[in-house]
Amino acid sequence: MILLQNVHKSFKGQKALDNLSIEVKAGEIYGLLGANGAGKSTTLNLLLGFLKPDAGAISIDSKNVVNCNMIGYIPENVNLYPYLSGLENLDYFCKLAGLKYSKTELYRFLLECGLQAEAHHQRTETYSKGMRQKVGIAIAYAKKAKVYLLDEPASGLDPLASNELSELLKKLASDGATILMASHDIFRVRETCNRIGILKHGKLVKELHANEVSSNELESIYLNFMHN
Amino acid sequence: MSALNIFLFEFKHFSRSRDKVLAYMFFVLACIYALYNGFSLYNKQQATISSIEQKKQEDILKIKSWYDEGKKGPEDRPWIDITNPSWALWNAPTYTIKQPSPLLPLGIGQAEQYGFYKKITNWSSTYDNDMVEELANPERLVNGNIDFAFLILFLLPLLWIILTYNINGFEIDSHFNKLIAIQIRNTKSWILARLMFYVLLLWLTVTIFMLVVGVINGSVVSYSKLFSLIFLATTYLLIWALISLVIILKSKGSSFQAFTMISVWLVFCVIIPGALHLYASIQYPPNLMTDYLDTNRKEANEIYELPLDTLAKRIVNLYPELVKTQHGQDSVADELIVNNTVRAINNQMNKKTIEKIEQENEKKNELIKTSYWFNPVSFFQNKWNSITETDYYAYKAYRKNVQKAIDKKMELLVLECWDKRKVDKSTYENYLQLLTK
Amino acid sequence: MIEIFLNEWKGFYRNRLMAVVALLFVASLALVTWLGVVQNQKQIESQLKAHRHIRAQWDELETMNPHKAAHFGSYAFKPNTILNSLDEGVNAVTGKVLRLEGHTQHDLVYSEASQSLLVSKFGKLMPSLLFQFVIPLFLIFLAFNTYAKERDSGRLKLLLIQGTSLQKILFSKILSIWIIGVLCLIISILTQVVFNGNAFHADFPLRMILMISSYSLYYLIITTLTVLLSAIFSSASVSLSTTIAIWVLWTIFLPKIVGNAVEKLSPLPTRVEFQKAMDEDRSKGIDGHNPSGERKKELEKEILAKYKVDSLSQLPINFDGIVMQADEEYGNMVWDKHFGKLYQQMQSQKRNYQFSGIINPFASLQNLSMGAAGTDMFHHLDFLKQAEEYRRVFIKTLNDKMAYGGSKTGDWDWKADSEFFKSVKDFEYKPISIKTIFPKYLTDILVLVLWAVVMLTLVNYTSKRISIL
Repeated sequence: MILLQNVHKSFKGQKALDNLSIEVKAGEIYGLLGANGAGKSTTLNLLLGFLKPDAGAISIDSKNVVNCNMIGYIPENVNLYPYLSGLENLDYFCKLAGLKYSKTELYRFLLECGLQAEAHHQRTETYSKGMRQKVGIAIAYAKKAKVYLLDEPASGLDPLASNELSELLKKLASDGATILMASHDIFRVRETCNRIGILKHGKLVKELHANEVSSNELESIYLNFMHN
Repeated sequence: MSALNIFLFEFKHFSRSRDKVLAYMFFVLACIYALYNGFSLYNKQQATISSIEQKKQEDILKIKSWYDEGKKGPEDRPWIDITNPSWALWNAPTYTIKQPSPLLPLGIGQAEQYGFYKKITNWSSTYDNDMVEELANPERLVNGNIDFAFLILFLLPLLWIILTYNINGFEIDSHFNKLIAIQIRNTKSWILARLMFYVLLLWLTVTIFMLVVGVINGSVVSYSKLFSLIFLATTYLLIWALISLVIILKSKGSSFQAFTMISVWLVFCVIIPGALHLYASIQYPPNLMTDYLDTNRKEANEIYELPLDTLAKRIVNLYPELVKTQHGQDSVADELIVNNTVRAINNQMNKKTIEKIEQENEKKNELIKTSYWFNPVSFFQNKWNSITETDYYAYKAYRKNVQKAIDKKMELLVLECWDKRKVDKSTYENYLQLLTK
Repeated sequence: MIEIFLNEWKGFYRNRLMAVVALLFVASLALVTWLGVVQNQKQIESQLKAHRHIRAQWDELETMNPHKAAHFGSYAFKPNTILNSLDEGVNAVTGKVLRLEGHTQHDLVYSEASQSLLVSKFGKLMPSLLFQFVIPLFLIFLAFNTYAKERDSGRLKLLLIQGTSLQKILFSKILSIWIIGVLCLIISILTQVVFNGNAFHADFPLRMILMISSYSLYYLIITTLTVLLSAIFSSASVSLSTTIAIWVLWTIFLPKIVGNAVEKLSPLPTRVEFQKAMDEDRSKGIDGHNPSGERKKELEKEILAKYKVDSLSQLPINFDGIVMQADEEYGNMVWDKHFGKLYQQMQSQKRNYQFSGIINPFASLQNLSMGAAGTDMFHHLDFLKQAEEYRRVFIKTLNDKMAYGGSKTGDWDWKADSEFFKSVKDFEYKPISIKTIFPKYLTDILVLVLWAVVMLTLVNYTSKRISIL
């Protein structure tokens, strides 16, 4: 479970987050929408422990200290080591986390995250962005992460890859994972997430359930907030 | 945008890049320091030459006073007799000096590897112990000096790299190279115009410093040589500009450019000259001069063991005009006269040996010269040193002058001794005149 | 940490260009080392040949007056050390031949540098050139981007979220690159051992340890600095240009500037000034060839009193030999005074230069490399000292023969036989032990260690403070 309570964060006097409170429960996918500079990445960086809040409380799975073992992070671009294969990359990242898996297990993780078997031994320099995203998710999956933090994960993906990603996230959520996904992509957020928050100037200006609105309605709500 | 505008905009790029301005200022300071070093050496050599000249005049005055007072030499050395040509010439201080080139402040070259003054005596040769370099810490010599030539040949390209490594590379790194290409249409001329800014900046900087030397040493400097140096520096700068242009046109980003440019520098300035240096040293190891040592030791000793008549004949063979001299017409060889002039034979032997040594050295030089087509930095370096008269050949020419002076003194000694000349003050003065001609 | 280290190496290995470059580099390094050995062996052979040639001439002397033999003299050829093939040090600029003669101490003459046009300003392409110039640059190119590429690609966050620390990442990267430099060193040393192994003396392991440790420390400094700057600067190209600027400053600029500055701090006299001062002091002593000198008369009185005779002709010995030796000893005293002062000045210059290591670790490296190879100023001065000591013994043997060999005063035609000349000991240079030289390099070692510690501490500090965003 992710919990942000009255979080404040400023950079050089400029407010990045202003009294932000968000709660994401286990099994839930939370979509954070907002313009550039709205505070989406700051929120993720706070959760990742790369930033410390000026005020407020952050807890993941009821713990105030970031525990890397339970967090999976999928950036906009999963830049893997190009000279390693997908399998080797996964193996390497797992070893960094202190996890030792057999090859069979590693294959399984990749397969479960949607990477075709024939790609496992190819160097990732030949991978498409979608394939790299899948390895990125596999890295988090192999860690048995309870919390997934995604920063613009669908950006630049073709519709098919984007759809596959949505399905994969839904599957992870249905297995009990807590997922927070920051994005610009209103349609993808609406399709993937259970709940959606709109950030503006570091404030959560609107929170709604995805099933309450259509994509078009969500877009007009979003634009409405942005124009005001 | 016209080439002129690009050129003018480059000033903004340059002036607003703190690192580049700093590097440029550093180079300017280095130029000042290098010229200071060059002038220091120039002045030091001049001061040494003046002190030698002063000592020479003092010695001459002393000898002249002996003539005036009717003395034959110093009281504690009664065997000296300055009325004898041998002693008169021994006491006629003769120096051959290599005046420092007025362009020495622009390039020290090999000046620190050689002596620049030589006292000529009956025993002299061009490879004497006193022909060696000034006293210096050998580790300092290994590191070399920061002279202006070094700055031009080795540091100027590095400054060039710092100034130009991100031309076009920055745009590629920041992904707006295509935008530039659309705006400019001709990227090549855009790059060229930007490079020309730095060519002009560095050319002006270097030229101004070189002209300063021309002005300071104005009374003695050869302007044609100075302009040759400026031309050489310009060509060298343009070659580096051309190399960077090629690299920039093939660029994949500023890191690529920096890497490639520095590699080119390393290859041309360090690796190729170093490899050739090693090869030349393997082909022609340092000459330990055993031939010369033999001539001056074993063979010289053998000469002294020869009978007097044989020695006299050999001296006459060297100077056929001796037959007309007083001693030449004597039926019995005079031991003192022959012994006083026997060095003429050694001088002849030395000359032959030294010629061989110089030929050996020349073979090594030829090897170096044939490498110039793939070793351009050594070409520029030696050409530069040749103009500033600080290269091997400048000192070879100096050695020739030394040899001429030895020959002249030797000839005078032999002719005068064999003529049994009685030397008075005016003869002594005449000797001085002849020897300094 | 080992995982990151292995992954870095996998990266080098799988980068085809890098693998080719590395392979070529290693091959060139081995080739250059071999050529260095060939060059050195040629020089050693030619030195031995010249030495034997000169000695043979001495041994062939039939009969000769000992004083004439003192002027006939001998020559000492400065021998190359075995490790000259790794670092030539001062040997390219110093003379090779020293004339050993009575009355006069000569200079070492005929340097290689004076025998041809200038070729390379940075010296021959010997292992030291690669060790000092090329390998550090190679390490810089490997290291400048190693951190920045992780950060710029966003992979750094992925790595950190896996539970590893920035400290581990930085140190593993430093280690993986540093090892490459050390491997290059080892390859060169092994090549050296293969081609030169039978010629090594007992000192060799210690010298090698000193050389390898010095270079390893320097490579650690340069790698750490590069990675540190790569972590501090936001752009890889800025960090690269800054590191290269530092490399230029350290390797090319500062050694020359500091070399000049220390020379100005403890200036050496010009040859004219030096000779003048020597001549002045020399003129106060005995002139062996001047029978009317006052000091010579005093010595004469002393000797006559000693042998209880009234005139030189009554002496059972040859007084000329005594005078020559007295003259020699006075000359030695003058030489010791002036050359001692000169050498002290040179050593003071060296000490000051060593302190420049505080701002330029390259200076310390250069010193240690030459010191370990036995091609530094200390070894050079040691050769001159040993040659002078030999000259003194050599001339004294001849003067003693003149004095006590059976001739009488004024008997300049008296000759010693060939057996005597053959019995005169030959000059043999005994290389100075590394243990003797080691204390002189403590400053350099300390400076390098200090630099390495400071650099590693800075990396450690930076890894805790730096923002990874």
